[in-house]
Amino acid sequence: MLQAIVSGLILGSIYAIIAQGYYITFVTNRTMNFGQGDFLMLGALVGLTTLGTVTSAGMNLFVSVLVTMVVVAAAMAMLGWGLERGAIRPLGHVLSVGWILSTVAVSLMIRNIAMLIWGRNVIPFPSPFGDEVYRFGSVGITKHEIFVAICAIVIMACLFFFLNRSLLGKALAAVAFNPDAASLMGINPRRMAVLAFALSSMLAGVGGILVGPITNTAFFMGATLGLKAFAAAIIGGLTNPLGILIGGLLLGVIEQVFSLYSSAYKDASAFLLILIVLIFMPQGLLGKKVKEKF
Amino acid sequence: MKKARWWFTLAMVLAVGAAGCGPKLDQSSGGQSGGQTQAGAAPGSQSSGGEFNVGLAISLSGGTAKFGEAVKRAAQMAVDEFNEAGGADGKKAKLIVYDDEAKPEKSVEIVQRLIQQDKVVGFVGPANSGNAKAHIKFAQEAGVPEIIPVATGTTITQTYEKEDKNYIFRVAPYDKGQVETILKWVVEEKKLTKIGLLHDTTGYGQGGKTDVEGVLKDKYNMTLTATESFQVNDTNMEAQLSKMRDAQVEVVIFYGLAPEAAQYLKSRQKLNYYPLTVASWAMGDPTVKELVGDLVNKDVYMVQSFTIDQSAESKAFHDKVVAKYGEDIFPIASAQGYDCMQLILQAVKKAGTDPKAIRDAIENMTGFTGITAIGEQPFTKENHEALTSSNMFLATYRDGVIVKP
Repeated sequence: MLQAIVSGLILGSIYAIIAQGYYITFVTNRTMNFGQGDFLMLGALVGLTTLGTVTSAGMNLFVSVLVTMVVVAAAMAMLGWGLERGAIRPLGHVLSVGWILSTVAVSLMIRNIAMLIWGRNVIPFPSPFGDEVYRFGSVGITKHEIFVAICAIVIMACLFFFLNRSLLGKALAAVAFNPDAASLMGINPRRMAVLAFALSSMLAGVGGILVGPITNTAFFMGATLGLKAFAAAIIGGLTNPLGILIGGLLLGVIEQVFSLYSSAYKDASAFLLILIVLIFMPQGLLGKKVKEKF
Repeated sequence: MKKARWWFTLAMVLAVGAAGCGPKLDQSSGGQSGGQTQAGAAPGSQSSGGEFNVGLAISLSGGTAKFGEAVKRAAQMAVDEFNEAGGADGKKAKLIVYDDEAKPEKSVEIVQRLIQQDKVVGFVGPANSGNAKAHIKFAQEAGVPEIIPVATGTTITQTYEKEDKNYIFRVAPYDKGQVETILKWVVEEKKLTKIGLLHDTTGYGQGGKTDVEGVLKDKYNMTLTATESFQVNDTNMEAQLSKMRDAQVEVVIFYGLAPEAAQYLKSRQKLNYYPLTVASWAMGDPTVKELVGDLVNKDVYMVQSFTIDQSAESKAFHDKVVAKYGEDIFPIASAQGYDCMQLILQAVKKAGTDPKAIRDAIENMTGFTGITAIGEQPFTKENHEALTSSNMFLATYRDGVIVKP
């Protein structure tokens, strides 16, 4: 039981990181990247390749992990920028929901390109920290999971600080609140949208590096993870980062605990949770309630 | 108007370009394999009168590509050796290889091509049970013998059992035979009674579950102590394993494919709980070892028909593969592929190049020495399985190599 909760928390924190990507773009210009899962897959595979290159160049462990993260974050930020410019902005006028299809289309392309580059097989992603398992009583935690936990805390802290305290974060919030007024105040909403997508893709990429050693990597790994992260975002409330964090952790734990009773219905349990939340709290656990006034 | 013409031209160019690409892709795969085989057959064709074609229809890309590649290398080796030894009455064999991409529809296409266009006297393949089920009809109707080196679906060879002549043979551990082998070892040899089953929720695992429960009940009048399932892409199996631990099972039968087997071994380590584990031959897939490294070494047994250390011949065969290709990417698939091709070539030696006569010769083959655990008389009229629970065995990993325990 305890083991299930710990494993669930670790997995849940990764869901939460990916789900924050949905949040950032959603509040900025009401769009989301439905290919978040495939961006994650790309992050994992690029990370794996980079890590391999860097370690074989004989760099120190922590330096190489850091380099990998930076490379992946940069690559994914570029991709996010491209996605916004290529697949979301041009469709802004055509059809209000055009971005749903275009992001899915981009994700399919990425998936197939990844298949051509990295092949169809499941690729081992050895954790840079080895396979060692620490034991606390009856609970086993791998070194990598500790790394995931630390990363999740650091990333969340940075993100909260960025969104609530920094000038750029406040600008994002301003655009989210009222794009017209924000542009009158000298904030460029288009640039903010690009920033939001770059950030969102970076989160997906880093999430990929974190989840890789837990699930192993393959070109098809993104679909389920992206969906679960989306579920986490919905459960927590799309407009509240804290809610998303809680939603992610909750989803992870419920999944693992549920599989203690019946593993066959593990995924079903996760999506049942979404249904229940959506029926009784359509705005999510911590989302802002909007009253319909007519 | 001018603009419209432009678009039209562009569309035409694209269409022609696309049309040019399609067939070219096909030819290149055919041409490539042709090239490889010619290299093997060239020295012989000068000194002899005539050639005959043998086929290989297997996945060289897709999820089962590793099996296919190993079989291809071994089959090529068998053909080369056959030609170097003079062929059959001066006739040399030529191996035609097509890739079925692990897709049933593609496998139907290439099997028809092998039979009608290349006029093979017999062929080896495929790696996927779904592909086999899709295409065996064409082999049977055309009367061309097929020997399956990898696909393990139990019913495949039984499909035409009732016909006068069944053209489908197999040198691979079929699913039910694997289960019988596992349970024979667990119940009869080890005398264990508390058995747990961990299976995946795909057709493979569900079939495994049905077989395990069926054999346990019919043969030993026993039931499983615990049954747990997992899904493809599950991130861990800690919950399932904890329940096995709580149920105090003495042995866990694992029925799933390589990536999940790797997750299972990782979860064992995480929980620090290492139950005796017996698995289908998927556990012996080199992918598992690539994914988890040394974790394979601890109390893990799986069904095999070949280990490198089982006999002097198998060691020699393994060395030959390594000498020729640099490595043996999938020892058991190589061995089974080699035996399949050997069976066809031996039959040609005995019966000439008429496919129907070759079928009879394969069915009545005696005094055959194979690399796998295959018997001297591999098949009978009733039994088209070369590997059954009487000659499959359980092997284990020692220092990362699959050996006889």
